[in-house]
Amino acid sequence: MNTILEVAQLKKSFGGLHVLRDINFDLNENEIIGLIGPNGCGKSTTFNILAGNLDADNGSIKLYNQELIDLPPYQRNLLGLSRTYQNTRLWRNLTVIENLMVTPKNQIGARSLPSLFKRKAFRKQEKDLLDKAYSTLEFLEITHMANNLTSELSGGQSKLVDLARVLMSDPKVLMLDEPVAGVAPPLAEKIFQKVREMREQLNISVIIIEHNMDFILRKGVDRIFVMAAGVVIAKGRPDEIKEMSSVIEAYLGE
Amino acid sequence: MSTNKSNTTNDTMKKIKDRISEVNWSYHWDRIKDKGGYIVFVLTFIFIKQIPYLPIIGNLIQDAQNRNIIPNIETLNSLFIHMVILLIFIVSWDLLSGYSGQVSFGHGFFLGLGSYFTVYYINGLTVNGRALFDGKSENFINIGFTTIDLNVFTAILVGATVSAIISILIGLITLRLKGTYFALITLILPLIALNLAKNLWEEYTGGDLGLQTRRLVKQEDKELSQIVWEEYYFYLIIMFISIGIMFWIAKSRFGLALQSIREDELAAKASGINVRLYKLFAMGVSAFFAGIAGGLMVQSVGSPIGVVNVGAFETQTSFTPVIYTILGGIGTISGPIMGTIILTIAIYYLALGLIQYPMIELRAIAIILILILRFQPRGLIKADKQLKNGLYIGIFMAILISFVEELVNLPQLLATWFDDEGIFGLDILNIKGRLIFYFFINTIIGYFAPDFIRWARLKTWGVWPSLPDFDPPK
Ligand SMILES: Nc1ncnc2c1ncn2[C@@H]1O[C@H](COP(=O)(O)OP(=O)(O)OP(=O)(O)O)[C@@H](O)[C@H]1O
Ligand SMILES: [Mg+2]
Repeated sequence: MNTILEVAQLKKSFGGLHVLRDINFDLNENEIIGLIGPNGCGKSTTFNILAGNLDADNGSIKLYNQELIDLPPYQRNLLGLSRTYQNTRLWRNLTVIENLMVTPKNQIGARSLPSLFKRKAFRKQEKDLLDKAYSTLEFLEITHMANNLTSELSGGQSKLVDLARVLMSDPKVLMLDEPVAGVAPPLAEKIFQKVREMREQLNISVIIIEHNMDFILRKGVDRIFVMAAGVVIAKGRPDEIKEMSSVIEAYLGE
Repeated sequence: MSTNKSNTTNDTMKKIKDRISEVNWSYHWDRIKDKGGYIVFVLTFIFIKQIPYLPIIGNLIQDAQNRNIIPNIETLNSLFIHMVILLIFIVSWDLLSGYSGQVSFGHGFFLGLGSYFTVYYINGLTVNGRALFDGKSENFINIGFTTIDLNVFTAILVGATVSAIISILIGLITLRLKGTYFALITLILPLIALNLAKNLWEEYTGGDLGLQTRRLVKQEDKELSQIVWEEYYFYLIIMFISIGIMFWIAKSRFGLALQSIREDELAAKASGINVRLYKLFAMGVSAFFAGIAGGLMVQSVGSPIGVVNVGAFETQTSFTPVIYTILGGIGTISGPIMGTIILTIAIYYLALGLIQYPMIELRAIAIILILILRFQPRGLIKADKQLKNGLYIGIFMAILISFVEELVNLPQLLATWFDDEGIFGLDILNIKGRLIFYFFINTIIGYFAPDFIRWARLKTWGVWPSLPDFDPPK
């Protein structure tokens, strides 16, 4: 299996607070990895740095052997890195469907002249995107909210729309920050199921941050990286992780 | 065979019925209403000259004009010319501030740049005795309903382009500034320009007196009353094209991306939107159309010459779009259009109805604005149904009463009830003052009537029989 994303020696501090001391991990093609660790250990910060929302103090991020660390966030996204947020950041005064229509790449409608002269291709793309948006919403069971403002959604629904939004952007590497926190259990199960399905169908790789150990250990995550106090203290397959005493001490706590 | 056939027709009927019940009618109704609004807007602006001669309502309009309820045709012309130019300016502000969220308090700067460079292009510009570029001679072409000076028209486009280029340069500096800081920079720009134009560069700007130039529409050979309409229609075409382009940008994926930047810039960046490019584009387009408005503003003084002076850089100019757009509804295209139409008309009536206190109409507008911000922060276009209905009732009843007031001697009655001072400075002896008074009273009645009826019904015969559209208390 070839590695597509390589994160090495990531360091980040806020003032005197060293949040990330030395983060190293890698992601193989077509793999789902879990990132776990106690609250405040720097998981979301890692995502922020990967997506370019925060600048790292040091380190390297290589996607398909291309160094990303100096690229602006939007270019990283165009290269295939998409993320969701722990506290959702939807565009609140836009409707759900509008939120979903912003993220798809290579939209003819976003370029003024082609959208004027390539009417036919434009219409077709528009229709395809709408179909895709609606089928995504249907899968996440929120079609009825399609024309509501996202500021009117409940917390769990917002999480779902956030998820739908990244799914619309055809990512290569999907970064999910607690995607099912606050989502009803049956649907959460379904979402994990869907992530695995998508991995197979669309050939994408996924990084999931999740506190629910049941999902992480049993629901088909290939490898797990355990973080604590800004370093990766352990990595391995779920069954290996379950047995490691250092992990149990730091996080599982049984 | 026949049963089979009827079965299939039944099936298709059922399918159609399902389709119909699936459709979200209220959503479509809103869109139809939107479209209707735009159609009425376009038709009114096109046929304003012909409206008094329409069958049926034409007579009413003429009657109203005779009674001074609505302005006569010359005043309508100047009001509409004013409105058409203002509309371009205000919608351009909304594209920048309402859509991309970079609230500009200095849009007059771009308007002024457009005006001045239009004039420079026509007249030529000489700095330190050296001609930077020569003036352009007259070059009339006939475009059917009127004859325009092509060089003046080009000048307007040139002025707008200069304005756009300068705004992009400014944008490069202000790119990283957000919210208040961006607003502060834009607030300062026209003030700097005003100072420079008035003092340092007075010989180039003409100071308060300004510069004179030629007009866009050929002035000779025709009656003035015809020329003003030719001018109006030409400006109207420019307005439709300008607003059309801005509308199209706003409604496209591009406008959606701008809105996403406004709502959450960080998330927009992480979703693959090149925020810098989009912001610069928004500034450029917005300043371009503000420049077009500026170029036309030179023409709007209502005399046979065009004049530009430093007035564009004054704070009042820059605040106009802020006020008008907030009243109509920020972040939409129909909002600023509606705000402009309503406020232009309101200022016209207030100025004539509050004649005892000159210039008080601006203060009245300020009060309206405060009330709107407090109670309808999303503007009139998205106002509560109750308020909208109240306003409709107010307008309708005000016009109705002003038609029939003579029958019941209402003007005399009012004049005896209130002394010469009038009410809140409203000139009761003047039809315009009475109109405002009727409008005010009836809006209040119209606003509270549903509440009152509900209250009365609950007191008298209770909730039963409940009307089908009884809406639960909010
Ligand atoms: N923008 C910031 N400024 C200052 N400190 C920050 C910032 N972002 C994160 N931190 C700090 O970094 C630490 C790690 O935060 P982070 O959000 O990465 O934790 P986490 O591992 O995602 O925790 P959780 O499981 O609770 O989501 C916290 O102590 C937090 O206070
Ligand atoms: Mg977190």
